[in-house]
Order: sequence, then C-alpha cells, then structure tokens
Amino acid sequence: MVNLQTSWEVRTLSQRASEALAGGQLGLTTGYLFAGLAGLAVFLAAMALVLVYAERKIAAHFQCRLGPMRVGWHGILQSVADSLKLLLKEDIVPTDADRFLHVLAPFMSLLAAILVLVMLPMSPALQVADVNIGVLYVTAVSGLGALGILLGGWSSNNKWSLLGAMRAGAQIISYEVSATLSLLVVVLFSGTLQLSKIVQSQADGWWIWRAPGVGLLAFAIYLIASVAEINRTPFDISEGESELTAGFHTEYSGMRFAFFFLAEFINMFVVSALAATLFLGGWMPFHIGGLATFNAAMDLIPPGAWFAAKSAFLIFVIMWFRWTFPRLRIDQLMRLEWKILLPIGFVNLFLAAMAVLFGFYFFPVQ
Amino acid sequence: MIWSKATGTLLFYLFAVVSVALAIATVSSRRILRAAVYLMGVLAVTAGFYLLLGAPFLAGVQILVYVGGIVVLIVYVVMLTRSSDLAEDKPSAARKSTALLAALASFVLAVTVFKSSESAFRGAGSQAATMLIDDTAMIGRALLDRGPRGYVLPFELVSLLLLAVVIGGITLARKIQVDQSAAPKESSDGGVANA
Amino acid sequence: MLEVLASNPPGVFHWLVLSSLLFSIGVYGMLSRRNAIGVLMGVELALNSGALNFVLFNRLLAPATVDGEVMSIFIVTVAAAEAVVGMAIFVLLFKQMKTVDMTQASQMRH
Repeated sequence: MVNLQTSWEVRTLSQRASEALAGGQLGLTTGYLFAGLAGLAVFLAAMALVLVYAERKIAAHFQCRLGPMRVGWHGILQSVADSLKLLLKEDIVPTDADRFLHVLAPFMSLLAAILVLVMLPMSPALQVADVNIGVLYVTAVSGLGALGILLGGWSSNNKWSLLGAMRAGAQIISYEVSATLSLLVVVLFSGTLQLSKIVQSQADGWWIWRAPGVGLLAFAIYLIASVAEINRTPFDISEGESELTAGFHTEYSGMRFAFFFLAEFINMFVVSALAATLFLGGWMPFHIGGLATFNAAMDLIPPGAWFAAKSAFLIFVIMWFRWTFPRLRIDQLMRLEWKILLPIGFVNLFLAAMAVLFGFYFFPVQ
Repeated sequence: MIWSKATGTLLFYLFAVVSVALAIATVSSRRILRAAVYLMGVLAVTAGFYLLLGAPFLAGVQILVYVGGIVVLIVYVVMLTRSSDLAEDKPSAARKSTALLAALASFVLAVTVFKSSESAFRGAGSQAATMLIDDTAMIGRALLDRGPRGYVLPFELVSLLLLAVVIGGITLARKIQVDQSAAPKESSDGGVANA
Repeated sequence: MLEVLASNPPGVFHWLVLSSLLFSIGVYGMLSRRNAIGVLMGVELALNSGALNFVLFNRLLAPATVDGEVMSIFIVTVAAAEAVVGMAIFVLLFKQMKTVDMTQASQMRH
C-alpha cells in the first residue's frame, strides 16, 4: 500500500475563531466571524447569479435557442439586472394572510439552505464549521426548509399556494427517507459522521467505486431523492405551472420571492456539493490506490478546484434532468418513492452493512 | 478559557429566557399554526441546551425528529383539519384558571423537592459538566449492547412500537375509505350499490 | 462582568427550575387548550422537558456514560410515535365531526 498524501490539515473557520477566543484575541475572533459572514453573503449572491445564468443558458441550448443575449456579453449581466428588478419590486402581503408567518417562511427556507452550506468542506482550508455529527446535522437541518415551504403556502391564504405547499410537504418528507438511507451507506463505509473525515476517508478512492456496487446504487438513489427533495423538475408538482400557477410562492413578490428563489438555487448547489462530498470524494483529488505517479500528478490540481468541478458537474446533471424528463403525477411520484426507491434503499443498506462487516471493498484502508 | 466559560453561562440564560418565552407563546397563542412555529422554536432551543450539556448527537436527533418530523406533521394536520378556523379556541376563564392552578402546583411541588434535596446533588459536582464528548459511538454501543448495562431489549421494543405505529397509522387512514364505501349502503333507499 | 459570568456557571438548581418551568407550561397547555392539536403540543413540551432532565442528570451523576441520553432518545422516539397516532386520530375525528374541538368529542359514537 503506497502511502498517499494523507496529511491534509483541516482547519475550519470556526476552529480558528475559537482558537483566537481561547487565546483572548477578541479582535481576531470578531475578524474571523465577520470574514465568515461576509464571505458567506458574497458566496450566496454570486452563486445565485451564476446558477440562474447557467440555468437559463443551459435550458436555451438544450432547446436550440440562444437564451439571454442582450445585457452584457452573451447576456452575462442578465441575472444582475433581474435581481435588481426583483429587489425594487413592491412587496405584497395578501389581505387576509397571517403576516408574521408570511414574512417568516422565506427566511426559514433560506436559513435551512445556509445552515447546510456552512458545514460543506470546500477544501482543506475552506470550511466554515465542522461538527462531528455532520451527516446527521445536514439531514436534520434540511427539515427546516420543508417547514418554510409549508408555512409559506398556508399563510398566503390562497388555494393554489396551500395545495402546492401540501404537495411539497408530502414529497419532501417522503423522499427525505430515501436520501437519508443512501447517505447512511457512506456513513457505514467511512465509519464517521463528520464531513471532513468522510472526505479524508476517500484518499484511496471515492466511495462511489470503493463500495462495490452499493456505492453506485446509493449515489443514484441519493441523486433522484434529493432532486425530488429540492422540488426540481421531474418532481416539481408542488409548483407545477400548468396546474397551480406557481405553487406555494404564488402570493410572494419582491424581496421575499427572491428569498424563496435564492433558497431553491442554493439548495441545488448544496445537494450537488453534498453528493460530491460523500460519494465523489469532495475536495480529494482522483486517486487510484497504488499508482504513485498518477496520484502525484492529480495532486497538482488544487483541492478547491476538484470540489468546484465535481459540484458543477452534478449541478449540470440536475439541470439536464429538467429538460429530459417530463413531470411526474403525484401518484407516480409517491409510487416511485414508497414502492421502488425505499425498498431498494433498504436492501442496499443491508448489503452495504454486509460488505463492511466482511471488509469487502476496494483499496481497504490501513 | 474565561471567555468560553462566560459564553457558556450567557448562552444558558439566553436560551432559558427564549425557551420559556416561546413555550408560553406556544400554549397561549390564539392561532394554532403560530403555536406550532413557537413550539418548533422551543424544541430547537432545547437542542441548544443539549449542545451546552455536551450531547451533540442528541441535539441532532432532537432537530431531526422534532423539527423535521413532529412539527411538520403538526403543521400538516392543522392544515388538513382546518383547525385555524377553530376561532373559538378561547378557553373559558374557569378552564384557564384550573389549568393555571395545576401548572403552578406542579411547578411549586417540583421546586420544593429540588430545594429539599439540593444537598444530595452537591457531592456529585455543583455544576453540569459541559465537556463535549463524542457521544455518537457511545450511544450506538449502548443501544446494541446485550450486556447487563446495555439497552438492546428496549431498543427492539421501541422498534416494535414504531412498527405498530406505522401499521396503526395506515389502518386509521384506511378506515375512512371503508366507512365511505359502507355509508351509501346504509343510507341507500334506492339500492345504489355501486361498490 | 466577565468574571462574574465565568465563575457562576448555571448550577443544578438552575437547570431543574428551567425544566420544571417548561413542564408546567406544558401542563397548562394540556389543560387549557380546546383544540386537540394544541393539547398535543402541551404534551410535547412536557415530554421535552423530561428528556432535558435525563440528559442533565446524565452529565451530573455519570458524565462518562450515556445512559441518560439513551433514555432521551427513547423519549423522542415515543413522542414521535404518539404524535403520529394522535394526528391520525385527529384527522379521523375531523372527518367524522368536522371539528377537532376536544369539548365536542365527548361521545364514543357519532
């Protein structure tokens, strides 16, 4: 077994901040905190702008159109203009709506997305926080997003919003089960819940190949279930335009609509980044156990670039889904989850447990 | 060191005030859906308490099951039962005062017991140890331990309970359909047996 | 200010008063609500404070073990189970009586 570069030093931002706090350097602590917050805000805004532009361009090219071309070179400033327009729009709360919940709901959706974002290990040096219950935390926090959608739909006092919210709620709760089951496969193999350690456990090979068969199946289930969880097309019955106007956010406008919108795109990134982290090795370069020269060459590419490339590829796949598959009906959606994905997920988890028990996986860790 | 200790104390009192305020809002809010949101707040802050007590895994479970599961379920059922239209959820004065009396009695009783037995805890360390331990593996071992200090039997019993609940939930939900198909037969006077 | 906070961490008594306060509020909710879902919320509050006590005594009496945490996990599980059955019954009740007002559901038949 060739010893690969295993000494990746992981230092999260919150770790640095608490070290500064312990050392009594208050200025440094607040500096780290502000750097983290500002970085997060800039990251959110930039990510949303890029993703909206990418979505429109990719959609256009799938349909042999050009997409936005007017604002800036190849319409590159289109999403900036759009977001300015959104921010300047009037913010309407329907007459009989529950004002407090109506205002709260988009914040909850966005908060859920951001709370997952801070845990993502983007590179050894770039991770805001790292807890030892990482995977559990990620699954737990995403429940908050479902609540935001449910409350938003109810408080709008509109039949379409309510129907969209109920559909979204049922869908998210159902598919969360499958997504969690497939995450557990990786947890079984890596033996830890901590996201940074899961990444480090893939130094000799990513879990999608190292776990024989079950890794690939778990990855497929996770991808399907999480696309359903973030309400993207083929599974977007909660906002199906042809049936429900715009679903749970029909009555939202201006800033708060922008928040739902932002949460949706950030969620898409979060889901892709999580899949990349757990199954595709996160920031870990592509290694083949034993091939030292090849691995050394792969190490030349910085870890952050690996992470970005993997996430970007998965985001592209999710956008690709949208223009390939037609929307499912609600009964088809539920049948897919409860009668197909869930049994497969359980059997897969069982097989994974057997594989771990008998040490039957490629490139065993020393 | 002094900073982290002070932060711990400050967080405890902050969480305590927030959780009690949210709990009071939960039981006194006139609108049931808002009460559910306040309840979610209380349960989330309780996860914060678990973190202060050094139980991160339990905090995760708390958020996962309560916020992601139970509160979502409550919100769902509030929507399904149109409970928000139950504007008459204005408890009568007698009901309110009885409830207040019972609550006060339980609180006073509890505090009296704590006061009288406070000396018993003193030897065990006057403050809760707030070290963060990696409780995930320990809980896993304890739950599946077949030894005298293990919990494998309760664990299996709880699994059985959950299975019973799943079956019970489905049965209750299906019963409506049986009733509806049976209803026209009972009230049918023209023999509209379309079953 | 800083020294005062650092040298006065919350003691057992503070924790216990907090949890019994939460429990009493839950009791109040259970008894004063007419909406069945509101009653269930009171029950959840009370259960929650019980779970908090288990963890507290775990850390207090045997900080190296997780017995209290295991109990809390069982409480959370049973609370979830109870919520599921309760909600199923409420939905059924609503289908039968068009309300989930507890004071209306005083008969065993309809």
